[in-house]
Amino acid sequence: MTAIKLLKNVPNAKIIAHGSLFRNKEYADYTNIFWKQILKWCLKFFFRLRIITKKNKILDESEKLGLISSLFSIVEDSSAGETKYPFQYNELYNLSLGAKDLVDYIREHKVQTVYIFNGRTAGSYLVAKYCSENDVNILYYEYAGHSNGFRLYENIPHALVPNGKAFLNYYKNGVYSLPGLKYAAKIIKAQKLLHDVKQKTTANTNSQYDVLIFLGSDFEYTGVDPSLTGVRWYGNANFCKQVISKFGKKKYAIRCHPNSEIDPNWPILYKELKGSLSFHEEYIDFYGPDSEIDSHSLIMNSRIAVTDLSSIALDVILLGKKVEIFGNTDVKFIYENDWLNNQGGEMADKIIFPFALVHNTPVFRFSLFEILVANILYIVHRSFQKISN
Amino acid sequence: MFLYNFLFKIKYPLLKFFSLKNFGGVYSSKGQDIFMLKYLYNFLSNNDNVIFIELNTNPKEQFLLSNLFFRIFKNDFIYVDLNKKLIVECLKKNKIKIHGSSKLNLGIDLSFYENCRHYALTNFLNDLAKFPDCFFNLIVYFDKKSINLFFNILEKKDVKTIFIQGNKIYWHEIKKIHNKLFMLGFVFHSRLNGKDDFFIKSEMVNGFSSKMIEKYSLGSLNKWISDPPDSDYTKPR
Repeated sequence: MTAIKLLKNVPNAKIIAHGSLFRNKEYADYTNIFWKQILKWCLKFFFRLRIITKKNKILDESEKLGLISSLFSIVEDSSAGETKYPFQYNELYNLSLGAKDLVDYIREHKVQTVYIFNGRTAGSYLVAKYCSENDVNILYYEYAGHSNGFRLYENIPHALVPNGKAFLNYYKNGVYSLPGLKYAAKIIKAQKLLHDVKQKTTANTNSQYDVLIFLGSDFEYTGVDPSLTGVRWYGNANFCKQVISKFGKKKYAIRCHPNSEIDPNWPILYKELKGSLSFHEEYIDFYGPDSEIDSHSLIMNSRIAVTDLSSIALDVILLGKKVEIFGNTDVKFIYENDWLNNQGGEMADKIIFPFALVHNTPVFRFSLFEILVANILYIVHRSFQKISN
Repeated sequence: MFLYNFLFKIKYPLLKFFSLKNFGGVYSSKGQDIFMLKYLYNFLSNNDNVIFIELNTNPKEQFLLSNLFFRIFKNDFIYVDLNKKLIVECLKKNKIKIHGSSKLNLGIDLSFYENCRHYALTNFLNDLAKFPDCFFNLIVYFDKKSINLFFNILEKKDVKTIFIQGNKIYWHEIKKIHNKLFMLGFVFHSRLNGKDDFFIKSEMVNGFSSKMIEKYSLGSLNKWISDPPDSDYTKPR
């Protein structure tokens, strides 16, 4: 629906897709193949969809990052690869080959501007990378909730700092109701501080720490291209070593990411992590992903918390404690922003406001007719999915 | 007050009220300023470098809006009288002192302010160069005299909002002008009292950069830019 809307509103736009998209399984997509073919022919007939055919047959190693990113997200395993998940790998390989064919099309036809979904996945990464490296304009679209609109980003959605900058700019200069924002901020703060993980971790600790380190999730950021997003994942062991070299001989607590519990590769990574920090072992308490100790209790009992890319940095600030953020994140950008710091009030109270506006930006609505069509399509889509299952 | 507001609402059915207590109960005899204040409060309170430019050809409503913004937010303003070819520049750095009653006095003369600089309208666009990093807001009483100057300012300066008054005077051209504004990244926000139009830069409405709209000619997407919901911003949309 977004592609059709853009086609109608962008001058001289054409809608193109690779044939593999209608044969393969994209991220979290279990759409019935027959339904995909119906969609393809409808798009061809009514909107002159141009189908790009398969030409490329091999991907270089450097071209597999989108594939890896999609694979990690789908199987939630940081050791995922061709041998461990051959079916998913091959499906995503074909999608990446399709993206490579799209790049050839963009190059040959000297396309000036590309609108693409997400930019990180197997089917879109190579296009995003090509456009970024060759000064081809690119805008990224994403879903807005409830299918009643879409978002249009000028930066890849995982580029945390530029997007944080946009949120803060909107918060500072936007046109919205202040009482409405206050109400939303109250709700989102409560949601943030009472999230699902907290409901599982109910035990408190009395141990006191100088430094609390929050680890990241290995399969979440491994497949993100730093040149596109400005976000770099060095791995938890390197992150911990950096923190320890900065703070020196202190009492540390290391809290593992709750997502690591579902990562089949975590026991190996955990062992490696402990091994690499053995030089400082006596000063470190580890809290595994399955630990029932509440992270907020650890935060309250630590002098400072340190994070890399984890969004728990926002929890630390909301709890009124000090945090140091090593990674390039939206929370870091907003937390360290001079203008926000110079505004009156405590940071714990004011930082939630820009984040309360996240659902607003940068959303474009569908018309009532488009929403109706989208809902009908969704019902049909689900019916096909049930048949497939 | 209730009766006054009630009558006001009948007269201006599209007007949305907000708590007047926060603004010292100041409003003009027309509703436009209240309407604009409600939406611009956030932007005006968070930025020091905001300047209002009022291009006026209507002698009955001099200083109508810039006066109000100055009184409440101490925003700098430049009043351009296109009939008299006169500029009145009221800037904070000129240490302006306000005399007279605290209520808004329509039809004020220039002696209302001290230290406002008055000079002839000759090279106004070049004069704007001395405000390099400022956000401008245009208040235009729209007619043939102001249209060229209006678009020249849009080309040269970072204009965030436009309030077009009396556009019926130029009704046969207005659609063309609106389309031109859409292509410059402005979003039509509202029409007040059936004639006055309020435009806001897209990044202020939903965060999407107006530069992108201009660069990719996305003006026709403007009407689909989503306004914020009235209360719960956490609802996915």
